[in-house]
Amino acid sequence: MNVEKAIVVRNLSYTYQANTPLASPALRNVEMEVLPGQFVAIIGQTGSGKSTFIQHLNGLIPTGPGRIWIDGQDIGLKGTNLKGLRQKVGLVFQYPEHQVFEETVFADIAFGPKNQGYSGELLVEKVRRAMGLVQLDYDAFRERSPLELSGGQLRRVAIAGVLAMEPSIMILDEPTAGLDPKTRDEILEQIARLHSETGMTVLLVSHSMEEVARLADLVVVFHDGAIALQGPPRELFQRDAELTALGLGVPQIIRVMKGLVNQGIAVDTRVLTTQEAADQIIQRWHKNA
Amino acid sequence: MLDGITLGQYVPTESPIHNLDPRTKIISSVLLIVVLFLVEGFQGYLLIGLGILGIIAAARLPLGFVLKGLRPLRLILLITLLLHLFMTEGREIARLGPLVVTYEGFNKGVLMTLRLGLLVLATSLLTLTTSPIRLTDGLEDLLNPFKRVGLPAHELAMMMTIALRFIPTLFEETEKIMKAQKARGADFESGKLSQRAKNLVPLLVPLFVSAFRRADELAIAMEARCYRGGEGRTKLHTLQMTRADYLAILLLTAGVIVIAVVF
Repeated sequence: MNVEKAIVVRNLSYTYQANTPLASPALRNVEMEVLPGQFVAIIGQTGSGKSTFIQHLNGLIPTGPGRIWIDGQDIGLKGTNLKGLRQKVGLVFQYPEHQVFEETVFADIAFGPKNQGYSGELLVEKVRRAMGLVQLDYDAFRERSPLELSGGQLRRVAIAGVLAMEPSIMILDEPTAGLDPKTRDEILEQIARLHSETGMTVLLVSHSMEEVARLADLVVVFHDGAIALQGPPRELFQRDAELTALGLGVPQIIRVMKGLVNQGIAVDTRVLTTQEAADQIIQRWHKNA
Repeated sequence: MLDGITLGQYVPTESPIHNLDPRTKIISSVLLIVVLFLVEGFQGYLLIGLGILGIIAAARLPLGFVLKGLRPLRLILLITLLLHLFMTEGREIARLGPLVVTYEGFNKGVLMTLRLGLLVLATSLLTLTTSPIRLTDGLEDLLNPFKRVGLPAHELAMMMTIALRFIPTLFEETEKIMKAQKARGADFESGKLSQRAKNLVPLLVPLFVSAFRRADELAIAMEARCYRGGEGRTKLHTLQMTRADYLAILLLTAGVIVIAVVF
């Protein structure tokens, strides 16, 4: 069952500090399906359960009553090979640069493959490839200490550390948090390229609609531990009233287009980028002229 | 992994015990500790145990949750029991190879284990029902008289507040780093002891780095708000002893004296 899906989640619930006076539910009956190679954005406010959810996907949090299949394999079964699972599902945590701990960039990126048992030439090859994927020059950065790197470079090192394990599913938890706009765009660009070049399944956690509008095939909105809405971004952003009610809002450009419609200018609001919007408006202009 | 530690955690509920002045609760804990060391017989411990049960009920804490606080100490309790059981000389009641269980050893072992367990329960009640801020406020106030002999009461209390405040933060941080490394194939649960100890190094490096960074940031934030020690500082919430506080102390003192004298 579910062999053709990369991820299937059924009836997943989780409570922090269950059975104590401090219990607080974090997930309620979450259901999700992701196809191989899909780019999924997971959106929600802080505390909506996004991070808790993704930690289930590589077995960091045990599944409990719900069930999760990764590539058709039920990961809640006893005797599941967790190491294998974590190799298959690469997870980049928030502020990954805080977790860089080795003395050199090479050693840090090699941590994952080394744990998988690689050494020598093969290990070097894996590290070199991972650094190439995030566009860090191998020879220039290999021997550098993480302490000398800029925030953006360090974050790339951290992402490379997960890529080096060659996962088929890549999950990134707010990979752009705390970065300046230029570095943020670079990192997003990197992720988009990674997705198209390797054909990996990507799950990107974010709280910014702008960020994911262009990239994602599917947007899943978490609210209060449950999935509130989901759909392809073009369709989803049409439900701007619901999104605003969830405290999320839609990308600015969609607000602009909706504003035009409200003014009686019939443009298509199902756009994702400024370029598409501009094309729409020009088309409209020519029709009127 | 760190989810299960209930020892010393504050449980914010409404109860007469929660509402007591922190000084009352600190003094009461000290009294309880003292009487635990004075009492020598089972009946005394029974009474103290009942008293503690009464306080747990009055504080509206689930008994199981409080008792879970003993779990981290189960090994120490067990070792205490076994050491006394086998190492005390006296009348023999059982024999296990070269090990001799004596009547006196049995008595002493059970008493010591009870004493330790009750000690932990009594003190954990203090932190379970008092928020860290109120706890240190109370401590500072109780230490104030010692300022004359050069004890920096305010600074001590501030250090304690900060330390307590950051325990959960550091736990969270540890858990986060552990998870990040598990996600990269690190293994903290299996392997030989030496291997497991080695696996902790990658955990400690980022943890220390972030602790120092935090300390630095905190110091700057405090200076930015003109913190300059306790001199001339006033409090937003001044502590106020009520009739319930005096009553609680009176009752407890009476109980403690009776138990100490009789047993």
